[in-house]
Amino acid sequence: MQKLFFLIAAGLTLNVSAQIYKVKTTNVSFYSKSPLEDIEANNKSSVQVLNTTTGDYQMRLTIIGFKFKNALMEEHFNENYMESTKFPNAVFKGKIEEKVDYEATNEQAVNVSGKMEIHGVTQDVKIQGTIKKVGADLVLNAKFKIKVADYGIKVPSLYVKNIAEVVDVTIDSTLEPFQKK
Amino acid sequence: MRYFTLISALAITCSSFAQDDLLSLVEDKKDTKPEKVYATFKTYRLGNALTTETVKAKHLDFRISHRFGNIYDNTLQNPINSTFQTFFGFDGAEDIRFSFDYGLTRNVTLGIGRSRANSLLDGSVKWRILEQTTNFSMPVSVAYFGDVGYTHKTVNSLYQGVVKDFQTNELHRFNFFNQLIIASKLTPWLSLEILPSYFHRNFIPERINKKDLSEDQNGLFSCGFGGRIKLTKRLCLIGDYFYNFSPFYVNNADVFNPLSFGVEMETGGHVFSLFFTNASGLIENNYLTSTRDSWAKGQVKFGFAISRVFAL
Repeated sequence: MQKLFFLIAAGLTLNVSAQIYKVKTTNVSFYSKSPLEDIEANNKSSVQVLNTTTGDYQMRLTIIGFKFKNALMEEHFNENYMESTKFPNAVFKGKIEEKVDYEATNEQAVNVSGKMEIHGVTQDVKIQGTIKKVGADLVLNAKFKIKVADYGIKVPSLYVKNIAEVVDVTIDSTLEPFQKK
Repeated sequence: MRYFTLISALAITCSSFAQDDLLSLVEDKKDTKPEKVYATFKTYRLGNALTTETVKAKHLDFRISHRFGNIYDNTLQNPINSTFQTFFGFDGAEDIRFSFDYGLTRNVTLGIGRSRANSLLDGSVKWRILEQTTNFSMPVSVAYFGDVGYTHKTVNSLYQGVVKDFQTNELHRFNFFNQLIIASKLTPWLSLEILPSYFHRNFIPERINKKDLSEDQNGLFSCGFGGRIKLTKRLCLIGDYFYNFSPFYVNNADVFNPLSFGVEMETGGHVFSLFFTNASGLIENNYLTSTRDSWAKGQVKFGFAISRVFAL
């Protein structure tokens, strides 16, 4: 019986030491620059988690959460390109490669490598970003490119001049310590 | 002790699962609101029938609609000859319409238009009251459509064929159309709609159904049915039909219920609707009561509408 308590206690300790950060505010945006038009959309409704003990970083983002200036473009984005009824989410699961000092208030460059799933297609990716501590929170920034064709998103030849082959994605997030209820 | 082992094994499994999927650790399932269904239809109108789609807020939908003449008409003496003479009805123009619909808000659209048939000017409002959700907790989208028509044709043609023993009245030129549009996107490729409607014309010339001697009335209840089948992302099959309930329209040899079939193509900013129909008019105020052609007699016309949306 004593052993059991010991086990449980050990388990609890483990849980506490594994520091989890959860998204507080975020904006994931993409930008497509092409000869005919520039397209930009923002998504403020993604879930992001960082485990500072293991360096695991995960994000799930609802495709329909991308907001465009042009509402018709938004409809076509969901209906014709992302097929967001069929593939409602984009998911990234990765790990920070470096040893990071999560208490440091200066920006630290990090590489996160992992798997990105968009439009039902999973690709290995490496994202470069920065991380820094602000108060109790962690601020994450990243900028990377996504090749549309890599994820099976087809752009008809009629629109190659409207939609870029490679879009720039920017992640701008603040994560706060997460307490399990 | 065996139980304890079991429990601790369970605990370990649980925690290892949590490590694997950090997201499920922090995501609150109860928080997720049901998503609204988007793009039940491609555009404001199918062939003849309206849809629950509104024009997006601060966007302007400019539509050019056209209805050619009959492709074939077996009431003519030499139908095949006239088919070729008019090049499948292309020489005829039963109706031409320009319209502008502006998205005041996400769910309210205001429109104005002018149709050649009956020299009709019209102002309309479409208000989407309910929106379907993806989990079917709200199974349908519902919109109200109201339209006021005003004909500016000459007094002579307004009272043509009428024994005019009354005063000319400006109000005779008005008609009013009200409709509820109830639609559901059942699957990503299939959307269906039902459109109960009431149409009131302030003035009508006397018309009698020769079969049962019933008279045309100022008010008319009808019900429309429409649907689309998505073939590819940008191409749909479309079709709609209206049934008029008033006895004058039921089983009438001269007036028929409008039916249309065709395709719809979306090319980014434009939507092209190309279809065949027996209706001559382009909006409810015209086609519900004045469809004098029948599919059974081959009196089918080619019609198209081009919609171009501008972000203002």
